[in-house]
Amino acid sequence: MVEKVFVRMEKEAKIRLKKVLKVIMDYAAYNFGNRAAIGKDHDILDALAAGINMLGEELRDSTISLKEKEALVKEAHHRVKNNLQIVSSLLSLQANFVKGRDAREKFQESLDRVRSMALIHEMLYISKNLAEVNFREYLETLVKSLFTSHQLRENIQLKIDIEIQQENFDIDTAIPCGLIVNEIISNSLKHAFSNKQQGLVSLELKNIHEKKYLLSISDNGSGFPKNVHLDSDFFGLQLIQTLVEQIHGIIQFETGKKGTKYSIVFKL
Amino acid sequence: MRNSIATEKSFSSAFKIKLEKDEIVRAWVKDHAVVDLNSAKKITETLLKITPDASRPVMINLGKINYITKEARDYFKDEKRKPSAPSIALIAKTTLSTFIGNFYLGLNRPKIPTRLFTDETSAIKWLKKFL
Repeated sequence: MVEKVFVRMEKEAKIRLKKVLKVIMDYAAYNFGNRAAIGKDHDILDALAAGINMLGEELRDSTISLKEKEALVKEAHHRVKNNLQIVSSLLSLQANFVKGRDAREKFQESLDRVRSMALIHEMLYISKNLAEVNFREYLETLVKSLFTSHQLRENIQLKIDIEIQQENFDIDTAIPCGLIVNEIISNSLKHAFSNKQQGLVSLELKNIHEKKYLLSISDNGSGFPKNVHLDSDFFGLQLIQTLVEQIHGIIQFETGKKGTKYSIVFKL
Repeated sequence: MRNSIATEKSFSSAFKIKLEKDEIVRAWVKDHAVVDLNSAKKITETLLKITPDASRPVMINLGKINYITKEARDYFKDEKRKPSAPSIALIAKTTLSTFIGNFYLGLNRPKIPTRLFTDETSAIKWLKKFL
């Protein structure tokens, strides 16, 4: 008789535990509609049920709060992207009223810089990760769009070799790196091949050690004029230096008749 | 201002409240009560009615409490809420009430000294330090 009572109690306990487990699984799926039942015995299983219910309530509140914050961050990225697009449009419009090829080129350079930043915010807006971008994807998109916007001859080729696959870079690294790439490649496309029939621009990015990366961009164009070095009085080179400092990187610059190469080592 | 009447009984939806001669307010959670926001507000109002300057310690016997809702927990946790006592002793004697009491203390981290006891004698001894 006593044994039958224990068997029945064990069976009831198992049923109650299964119901509590079901509630836990629902909470894990962010379904907070279910609650564990608390009986009148106020025994240990009732205590477990109460605890699960209370934790579920706290989790539900945190989830709502987190979702609201995510929505706000996404919205912020969307607005920044839109504002940068407005700046782009204004620059573009202004360029139509500017006389002289030199001045128009300066506007185009500014446009490219703004677009490289807008692209990051666009990617952040559509990605699940609100604070980091897939840098490979970003670089590929950026470089291809630079080639398109400079409307080059078909015999200028682009070679991209990005070894990193899924690495995400935070916005504080991605933006300066994007601007560096924009600066170097734009410069190559505008100046390196004016005396050449064909050419090649290469971009390589590899992870050399833990969080250390090597970014190499080169072209086989005609190189900078003699005696030009990184500290020379060229706005583009100075900008590159400043941006490399921003990401606490080190840059090497080689230029000659066979082309120009930039090698930048930086750490996340 | 202390109430000069030796004892006073008051009721709120989930609690029974009484001021004893030793100047410690006693409250009991009614059997199988769910302490919700309404009850939380009522007990606070009642305690402040008995002791407007919140100078009397309070002992709350959780009895056979069934649950305390999120809204009630958040209300007790609200920093803007005026404290109704200098200290609170919670008495828990069942598995469920002990669990609820510990959970409440862990999650809510009350601003005023609050402790969980299994017997009234120890609780009163501790509360008298706040008189």
